[in-house]
Amino acid sequence: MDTSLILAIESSCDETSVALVRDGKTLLSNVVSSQIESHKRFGGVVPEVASRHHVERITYVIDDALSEAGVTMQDVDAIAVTQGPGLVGALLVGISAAKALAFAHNKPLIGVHHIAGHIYANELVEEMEFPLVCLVVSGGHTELVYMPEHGVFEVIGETRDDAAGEAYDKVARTLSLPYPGGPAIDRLAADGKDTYKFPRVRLEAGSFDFSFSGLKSSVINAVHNAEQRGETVIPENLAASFQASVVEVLVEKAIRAVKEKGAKQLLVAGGVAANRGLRTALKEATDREGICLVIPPLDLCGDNAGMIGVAAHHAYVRGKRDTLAMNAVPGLSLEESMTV
Amino acid sequence: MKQLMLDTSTTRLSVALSEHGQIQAEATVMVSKNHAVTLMPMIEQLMNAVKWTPTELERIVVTTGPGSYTGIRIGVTTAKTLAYTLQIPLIGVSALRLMAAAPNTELPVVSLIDARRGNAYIGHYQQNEAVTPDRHASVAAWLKANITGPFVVVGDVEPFRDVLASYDYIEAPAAHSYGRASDLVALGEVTNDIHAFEPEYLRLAEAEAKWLEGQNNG
Ligand SMILES: [Zn+2]
Repeated sequence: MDTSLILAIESSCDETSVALVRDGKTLLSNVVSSQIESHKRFGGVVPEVASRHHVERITYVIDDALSEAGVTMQDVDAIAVTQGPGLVGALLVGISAAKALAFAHNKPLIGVHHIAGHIYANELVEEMEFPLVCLVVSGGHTELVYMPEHGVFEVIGETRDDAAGEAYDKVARTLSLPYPGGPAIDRLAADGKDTYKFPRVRLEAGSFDFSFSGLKSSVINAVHNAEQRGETVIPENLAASFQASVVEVLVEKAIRAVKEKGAKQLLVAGGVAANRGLRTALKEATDREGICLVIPPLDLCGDNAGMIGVAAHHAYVRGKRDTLAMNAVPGLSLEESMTV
Repeated sequence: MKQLMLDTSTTRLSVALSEHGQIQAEATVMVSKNHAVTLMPMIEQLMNAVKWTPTELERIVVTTGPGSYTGIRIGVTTAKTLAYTLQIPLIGVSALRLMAAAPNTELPVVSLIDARRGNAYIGHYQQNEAVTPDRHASVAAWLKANITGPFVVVGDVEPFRDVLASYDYIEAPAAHSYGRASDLVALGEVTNDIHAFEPEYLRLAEAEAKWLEGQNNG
């Protein structure tokens, strides 16, 4: 029962991805078809356009993933698919395809929470040791998640306004940086200094929650004020100052959560886990504190079906099964996502 | 030839099974709230009713739109994934053509799917053959440009009664005003590339239309 071969599908945003995952440990294939080039002209992901691309690509990607893995549908034990959160139209393409495969070959269907997927990407780096704390940072999420065991998620802190990734995108737009904004700011920040000393928003003592909208406004104001005075901002320093504020708060709260919860590991998950500034700061802080840090390699930080397949393996061995009536749930709760 | 047919392009959800051209099972929900939830269970139920297993399927027919963007994507994704994985032929049929096939008439048939603000997705067929291509257009303008003699109208007639008033048209009786999946039994041609099989939206995504406009205006 601990062995499995799972075909996983991820289509929650702008990547169409299919993976074949063995025993929740080995990626036999992890094909990602990115739409980023198409969405660049709009300066962000357009849901209707994303959904259309998913339909255009879905069976190509399934076919590539199967042939790259060298397996057939007969070898597969279960079909996993991202059920939410995400763009509903985009999710529905993956779900429709997953149901068709499950029905055609009489295989179990398993809906997976997108963020559970991001967290489980870490299993491909190092086996999880419980209890653990995971810092989730992506375009739509900034959360601290406590896991006492496999499949059990307790959100101990979350953003009260913008997600960290959202703040990155907005600041990038203010600086007229190309889409996607996050990596662009990260690159600029590497050449700048924290000269602006933007506020660090820590909220009330003891809270693990985050808030980035104030910081975002401070950055936008700094740019506007400079413009009004006829001065030019130094984009490198502005990016570095913004990033320093975000990273400092993320790292500080993550470390405190690990200590308070007696966690054996600190995991990092989500698209912003690819941010070099964050990776460096986390590495330094965890080294200093003697905490075991696990971060997925860059290619597993973004959306991919491999991570969905790993999470699905643990749902599969726990006996989670969904029916052919499964729906997309754009606001799916992480805490209940792996409950059988 | 065991054939599965499905239409999810409007609020109607219709699934049918045929063998050697004979309808074996059919189910149609006129006001389906959520195709995503109901489509696969409905297919499964009908298959169970006639005791077919999925691997016995030999052909799939699906409407490709126009209509509800999400609806068509659910139908097309389901159909193309089934056809791909079962390695069986796939046929796409315009939803407007399916509707036009419902009334039994030798007159031209105009099929309408309301697209709001006086616009519709408009089909123009005669005995299952397209007279003019499917269009997304203003119904008033389209009728003026394309209609000379008497015709039968099917589909969303209600919103366009005023514009239709000055034409010589016959309204199909309710039961023959919307095609059912079983009407797909003899329509359409097999696609030669399942992977490249796509919906026919007849409209660009709004953001894409705006972007193109921007490009054209320099
Ligand atoms: Zn993600």
